[in-house]
Amino acid sequence: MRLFWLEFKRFTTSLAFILYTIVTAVFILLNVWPMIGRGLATPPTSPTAHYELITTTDFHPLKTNALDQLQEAHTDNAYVTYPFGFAKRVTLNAQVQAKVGKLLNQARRIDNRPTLAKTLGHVDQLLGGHSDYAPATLQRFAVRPMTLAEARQDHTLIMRKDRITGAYARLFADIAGIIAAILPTIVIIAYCYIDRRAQVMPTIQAKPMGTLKWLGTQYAASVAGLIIPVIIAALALFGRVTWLYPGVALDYLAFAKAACFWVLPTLMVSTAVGFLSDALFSNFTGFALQIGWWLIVMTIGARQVIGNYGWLLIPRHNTLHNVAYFYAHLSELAINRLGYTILAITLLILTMLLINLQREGKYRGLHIRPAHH
Amino acid sequence: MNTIQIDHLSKRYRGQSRPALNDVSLTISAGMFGLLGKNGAGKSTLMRILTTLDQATTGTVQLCGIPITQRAAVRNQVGYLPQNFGFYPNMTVRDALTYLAILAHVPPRSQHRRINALLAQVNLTDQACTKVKALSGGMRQRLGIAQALVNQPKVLIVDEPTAGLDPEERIRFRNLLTEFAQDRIVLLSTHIVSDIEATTNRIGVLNQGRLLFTGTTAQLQAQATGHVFTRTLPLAELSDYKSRYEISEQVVQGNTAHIRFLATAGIPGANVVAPTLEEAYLYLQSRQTRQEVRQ
Repeated sequence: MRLFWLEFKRFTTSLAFILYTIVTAVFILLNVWPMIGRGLATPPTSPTAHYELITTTDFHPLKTNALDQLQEAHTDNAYVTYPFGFAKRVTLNAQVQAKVGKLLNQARRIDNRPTLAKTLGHVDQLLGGHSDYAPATLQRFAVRPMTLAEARQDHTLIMRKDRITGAYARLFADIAGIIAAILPTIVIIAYCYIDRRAQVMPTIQAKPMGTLKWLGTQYAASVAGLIIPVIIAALALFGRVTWLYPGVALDYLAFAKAACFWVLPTLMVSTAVGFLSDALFSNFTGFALQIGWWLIVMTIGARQVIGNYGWLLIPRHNTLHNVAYFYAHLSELAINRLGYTILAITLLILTMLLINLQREGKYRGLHIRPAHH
Repeated sequence: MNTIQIDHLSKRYRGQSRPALNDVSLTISAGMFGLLGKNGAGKSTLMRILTTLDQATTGTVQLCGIPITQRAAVRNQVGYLPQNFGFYPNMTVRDALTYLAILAHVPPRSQHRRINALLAQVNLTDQACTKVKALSGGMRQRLGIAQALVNQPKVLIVDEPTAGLDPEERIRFRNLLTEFAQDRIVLLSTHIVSDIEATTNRIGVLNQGRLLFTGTTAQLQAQATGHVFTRTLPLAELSDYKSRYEISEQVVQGNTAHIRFLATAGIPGANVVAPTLEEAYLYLQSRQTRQEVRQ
């Protein structure tokens, strides 16, 4: 425990941590604070109001949205695909354009989902794959504004299951996840780099303590430090919610649950990537790798931000609504978070193995030196 | 069993034609032992192997009866001050020692008392709350020796500890090492002959990975006896002497130069003098070079 405290103190008094704390807290608060002002306690009543978007299982909005987008792309001969998550503009030759036009006309006459998925799957193939029309990603088109009845059900879920704070906490977790997936890697690599320049490692590595205990403590202290600005932002947001909803039964643990079960696994992974990168490359290469991963996840997530979990490092739920989707996919989110927690631990074990090799003189940088006996 | 036993130790790094250590055998018993050699001689490689931070290609080492392959057990017996010692810059001296005491498995109940005693021994009590980055070079080295002693090791290994220190700090540091050598093995690696002269009479000399000599300083000096000369000569002849002999000392006064130099045989007009340790070391190195050229 004393070692943990020394590591925690060392980490939280570093310049890298102070800058990280300011940037992270400000980023979360700037993005979430204005949304807190949107009242959630008032039930929807107007049949003509334009309510928030929801993800739906209805066939009609899926077909309409997909074909509207395809029609527009076909007219301009400007399609977009997403190889490795990055947007790529695709222009077709006249022959393929004609085939897409034919498939588009066929699709207009289809009245069931499997046939539509098959037809648009052909379009995806003609575009070279990785488009929104692939059967696996077609669901993203199933978004539409809520009806009054759905808005009422959404409101009921917010009041009864979320107890208001839950809805804000989801939005908070969505935003916090964006920054928790990238900044900790940068902070840890910079932090380790400063230690490396101070030539600390030979002294530490010659001591008898096992690598697992030493690295595990350092990792735990870093994660405990890195979550601080997330908690600060959560407390500030929670304070504002309680001030805006006096006398309302709130879920007092909603922000804590969002921070621990939603944001923390992301932060654990990006922290572990930082340590692994330092052990693997002894330089800043990990920056580029993590930024690449982050960009891919952000791009994939950006195609559907109001409820998109799957295997994203940053599960997206950038709305106060679409509550039914959240509860329907809670197990998917839980598996996602558990998976990333396991990944973080795996990366840490890999780091430990590399450091053990370094301690035995078998590994320097990326060149493994086999033992000669 | 308070010895370091090194038998036929070799270390070869991939991609390097010459081995870093070449069939080194050496027995070091309790007290101070100086390992002398120029930069690149293989001293740091040997230190790293003895501290389990590197692996030998061939050969065996036993530290206080423990084979070097039993890393955890060896690390419990060894204190190590690496070359260019540094520590977390933002930590205070006391926190740094506490941190390393925990890593060295010092029992929590003993930590405070032991750290206070070490701070007093290395004269850093007043700097206990100073951050590591604010320490002078000498203070940092004293912190280095304190951390190496925190687990009360049977073997203390110090690698080039006085490099970069001013004369006052260097003398203070040598005295510390001598104190600590009273009840353990202290292996001092250095390329500075005066460090050895001031601390021990038991030495080994490494050159290009080979152990050229092991014995006492007197034995090393005896090997060079009759090969060190002194002469006063006109300044114009100095460059000629420099090209023919290894000059160990020269003082120029006006148009004359007073020199000490090394030669294999007597030189007319030159007086034989007793070699210093530095001259004996230079003689050993130049003899080795000559032998290699002949071979």
